[in-house]
Amino acid sequence: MYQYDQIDRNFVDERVAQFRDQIARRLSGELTEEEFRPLRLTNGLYLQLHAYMLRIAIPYGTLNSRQLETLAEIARKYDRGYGHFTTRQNLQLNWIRLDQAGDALADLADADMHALQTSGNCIRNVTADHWAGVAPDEVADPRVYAELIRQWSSLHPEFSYLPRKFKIAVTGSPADRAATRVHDIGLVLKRDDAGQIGFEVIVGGGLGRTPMIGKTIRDFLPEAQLLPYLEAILRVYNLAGRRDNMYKARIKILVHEIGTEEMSRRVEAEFAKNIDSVLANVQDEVARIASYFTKLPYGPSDPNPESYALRRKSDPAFRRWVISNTFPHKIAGYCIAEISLKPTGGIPGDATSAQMIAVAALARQYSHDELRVTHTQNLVLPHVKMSDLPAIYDVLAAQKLDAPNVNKVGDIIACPGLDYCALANARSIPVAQRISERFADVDRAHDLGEVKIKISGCINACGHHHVGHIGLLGVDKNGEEFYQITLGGSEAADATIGTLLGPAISSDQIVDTVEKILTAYADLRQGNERFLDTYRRLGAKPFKERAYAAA
Amino acid sequence: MQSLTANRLDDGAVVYRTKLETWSRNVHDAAVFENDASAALEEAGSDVIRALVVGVELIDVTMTDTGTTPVSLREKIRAFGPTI
Amino acid sequence: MLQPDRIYAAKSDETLTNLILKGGVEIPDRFTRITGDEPIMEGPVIVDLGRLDAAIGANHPLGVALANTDDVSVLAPYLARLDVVVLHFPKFTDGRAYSQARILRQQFGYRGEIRATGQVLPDQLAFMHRCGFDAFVLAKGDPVTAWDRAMTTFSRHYQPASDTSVPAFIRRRENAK
Ligand code: SF4
Repeated sequence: MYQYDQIDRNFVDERVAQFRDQIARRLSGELTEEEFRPLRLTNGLYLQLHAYMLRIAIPYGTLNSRQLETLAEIARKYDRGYGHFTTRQNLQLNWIRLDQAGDALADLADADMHALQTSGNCIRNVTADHWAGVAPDEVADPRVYAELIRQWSSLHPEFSYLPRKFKIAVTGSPADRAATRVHDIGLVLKRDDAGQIGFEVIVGGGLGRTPMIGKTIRDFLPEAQLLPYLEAILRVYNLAGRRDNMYKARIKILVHEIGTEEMSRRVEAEFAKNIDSVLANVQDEVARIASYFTKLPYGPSDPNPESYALRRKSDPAFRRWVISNTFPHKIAGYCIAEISLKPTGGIPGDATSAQMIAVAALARQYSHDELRVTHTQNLVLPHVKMSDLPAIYDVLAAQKLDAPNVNKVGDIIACPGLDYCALANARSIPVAQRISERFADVDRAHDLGEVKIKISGCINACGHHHVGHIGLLGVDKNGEEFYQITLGGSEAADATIGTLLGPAISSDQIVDTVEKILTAYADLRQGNERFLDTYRRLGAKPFKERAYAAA
Repeated sequence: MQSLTANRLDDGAVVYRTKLETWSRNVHDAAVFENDASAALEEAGSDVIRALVVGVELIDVTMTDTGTTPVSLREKIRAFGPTI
Repeated sequence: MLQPDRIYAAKSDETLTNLILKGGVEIPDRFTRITGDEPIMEGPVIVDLGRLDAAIGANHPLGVALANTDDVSVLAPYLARLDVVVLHFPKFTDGRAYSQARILRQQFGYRGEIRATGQVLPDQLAFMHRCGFDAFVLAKGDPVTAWDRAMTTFSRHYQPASDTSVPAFIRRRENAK
């Protein structure tokens, strides 16, 4: 994975020094809250309901063991010994003091990490496929380009006060595990007929109040032109994006209002003026970054070693975990092991410092010192030998990290909601806990197969509810928590915005209603259909009838 | 009935305006304004300028056996912590 | 909106003169800002975009003030004649003028002064400078302190912009040679 050089290290150190000075000026009253707020937000610091919240970037979801240990230590030292992994490959700490934020960021910088641009109206931390570099279906490693973009966008002088936040995602696989079609810019790596690397460029996707699927404005952008082209898009947006209404300020609204063709025309015109920029001359830099992402020294590994086969036969819990939580690796004899942060009744995405330290040790011993964070709020050991799975599983079980539920009904995405978030209308986490308890039976959950439930506590949609197979959106009805249900969403290559099922359901009823919907699916499915397939075949009607039928 | 709440600048903690015009971490200490609270709101604003608190706002409260208690779920969560 | 708080009586003829931050020091502004229908006087003036044609013929230093919604490319035919382009930040969070400045420098090769007005705050000076601004009417704070801080906080930047700093990737390439 990428290693900081002296330039990168100086940059994060100088950034910490700058923010310390800004914090001091805020505490002294020299800076008003209005002046300070955008400065702290670009350093990942929010003021939430109970305290400051620090959102730490895990660039493109990749980190090493030492970095995860550092996160665990920061959570212990400056917070309450746990952290929350988010849908954007970030870690959030919920109980930070402003007067200690500089120290926390300094500790982070010591491990080559930062919280830069995890908030604010700037280019946010870039996300990528969490299976980058190990997926069998990969065209090229998206992290090389995500790192290039991370550096280019860091404190970009022209694009630090955009109309609104700006999110870029990169995927190297046609399967699109980075949800590129619901980002402000989605980049899909591909090769042209000559074998040259380039990108499909998708613009104007997003969730929030007006969910939209992004539009392709370039089928194939040659690799070398990536940064000038991004700069052209950002410049068009910075100048023409709406600033009169924050709900209409995202680039998706601009694309929607002027049309995809006009957007493409403006970007191409701007790009034509920009094409000679030194930014088009980054081949050496791409090669330098790529050298950190070369193939790891995988030793030979038996695809079906005896220790593994025996355990699989004798231990049904282990077998179920392997079936749901491990995935094929591009190298035979290896697998990708996903660690669910969704124990039954737990808080989706939360991990204690002790758990982080245990997982870091696993990565060091069994996964080439490398970990991933998924946008589904789980962790991944990306390079695991089949023969090591039993030992890994035992450690996970001891840490209560062995939930065999990846992509199952219990693998719920939930934003912090009203328990922490200042913008929330309703709670998300307790609903996720109750649903996961209702479906605690592993056999039943495995029988229901792939079900993606996603919960947001307000229309900002941090829980990505629009693209959940079942999406729940918390709303406030006269002081009571209600939940709107959308069905049929998807964030994959077949990205779809879910459809509203009907009137919002009370908090008391919501778990029963989700159960009715899934029972309807179990009754109606044909063959190997997933929930989403059955929904697509039959439409909303049968689900609606069952969901709203009197008990 | 209303009370005044804010977040403390240095640690972000939830605080309530007391009768003594100080800030308390405990909602039960909150001063209750039966009628017009705008004067108190303005008064509290000086602590914003002095960089002691941010986000001063009025919230609806009721009186219970234990003392002042917020009405809305959001303010209950601010007062008593996450429900999870 | 914040107003410049550094207006001094500086000239011997007792007219009020604004100070502007330029090259790291505060200097009196030799330009007079002509707004609305005010007559265009002799001497260095800055006019609104709509009066540029009326002012262009005169034989004295000339500047133009744009709104951040104006398309800077309309200045193309005038740029050789212009000494100052004033770009405005109605709020410090409204970043359109950054792109306006970059287009002037990068695409039109404009070499004259680009002046920032409006809510120009110390913590955004470095961004403005990197986008090609070289004169500032600061809305708050001590300009010289702000300038020193803006110039020294970062030893290197990642991306090329409209300043003279060498971006990280080019420095690395040179180091590798
Ligand atoms: S979706 Fe709303 S409630 Fe949930 S974290 Fe985002 S802003 Fe907060």
